[in-house]
Amino acid sequence: MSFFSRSRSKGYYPNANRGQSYYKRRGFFGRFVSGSSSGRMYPPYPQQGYQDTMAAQNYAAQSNFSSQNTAVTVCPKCGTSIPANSKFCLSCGERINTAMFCPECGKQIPAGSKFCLECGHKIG
Amino acid sequence: MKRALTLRKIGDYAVYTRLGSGRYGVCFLAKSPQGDWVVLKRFRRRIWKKNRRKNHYEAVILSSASHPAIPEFLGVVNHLSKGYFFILEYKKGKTLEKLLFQKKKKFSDVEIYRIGSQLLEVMEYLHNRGIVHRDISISNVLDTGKEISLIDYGLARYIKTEDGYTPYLDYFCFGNVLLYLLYSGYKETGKKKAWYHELPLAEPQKTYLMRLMGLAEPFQSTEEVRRLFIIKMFCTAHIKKVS
Repeated sequence: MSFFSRSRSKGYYPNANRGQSYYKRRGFFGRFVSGSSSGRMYPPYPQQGYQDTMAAQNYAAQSNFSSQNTAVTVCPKCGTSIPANSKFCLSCGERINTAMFCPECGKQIPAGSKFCLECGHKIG
Repeated sequence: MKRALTLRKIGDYAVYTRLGSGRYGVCFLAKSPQGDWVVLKRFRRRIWKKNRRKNHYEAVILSSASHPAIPEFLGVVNHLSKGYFFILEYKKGKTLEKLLFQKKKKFSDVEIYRIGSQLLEVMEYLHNRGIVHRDISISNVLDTGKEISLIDYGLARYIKTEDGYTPYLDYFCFGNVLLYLLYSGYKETGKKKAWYHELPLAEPQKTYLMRLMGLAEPFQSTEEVRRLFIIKMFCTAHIKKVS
């Protein structure tokens, strides 16, 4: 547990009785942090030296999100188990469930389309 | 954008500038191969690992949401050396934080009403889908002057009372944002008191805000918060009494 992680997971409920010293000055940290979206270029990120960047490719190894209350599906490309309902594989970025097929002619059509691009059959 | 110089590419995305950062990592503004502006949200590895059981919520929640004020989830880039990114739709506008503290903007009642009611509409949309945002703040609300967007779903969860994921925190945070906006026209004085002593509020406004902030009987539903927003906060009869 780092210092910064003392946080909202533990019933975070902030002070409801603050006044001008908070609302006019962005709170305690506001005085030190300048606008975060100031358009600065970000300096080279110091993460390039990670020893185990290879591990990053295996989302499953680091991510065993609890499957008890989350439906899980398997990415057809890389085989990682990912939460169902995610539009993309969280490991390789493959689009999931995007393949819709026209019930009339069987051609693959883009997700969300209202008509089959091939035969014009109305979808849904 | 101060510099429109392409520095580097991440996957197929050309990164232009840094938008902001937080505990989770950094957000970059980038252009997709199709020429659309997108946000690359890069996760710090330590945070990603530490929250490994929770990281997927943002992806799942954004995948299921479809609302003009909520950024669309556009993909994942898992780059071997450059790190792990979520690709999100870029929403225009400046954060309320920037408007308040850099532009020193004073928000009029009309603007507070617009921002508040648009925010409540998004909140109701989320809560109706069983989602709590849990991080509604002045730095997570973008305003274009016409419409707002609610960004950063890193802390968003499905409502689960036994885990403490209830809409009440969103009500509180919404109240907090309203107070920031109301304080934008407040001239600082020497004495420091709580907001309900400092702001010139009419009784219904005070009660409404106190209910949001958990200092009075809490609201039962987001629908109630939304219904009472205009009645309690902007009914001219009340406001005239004060001024």
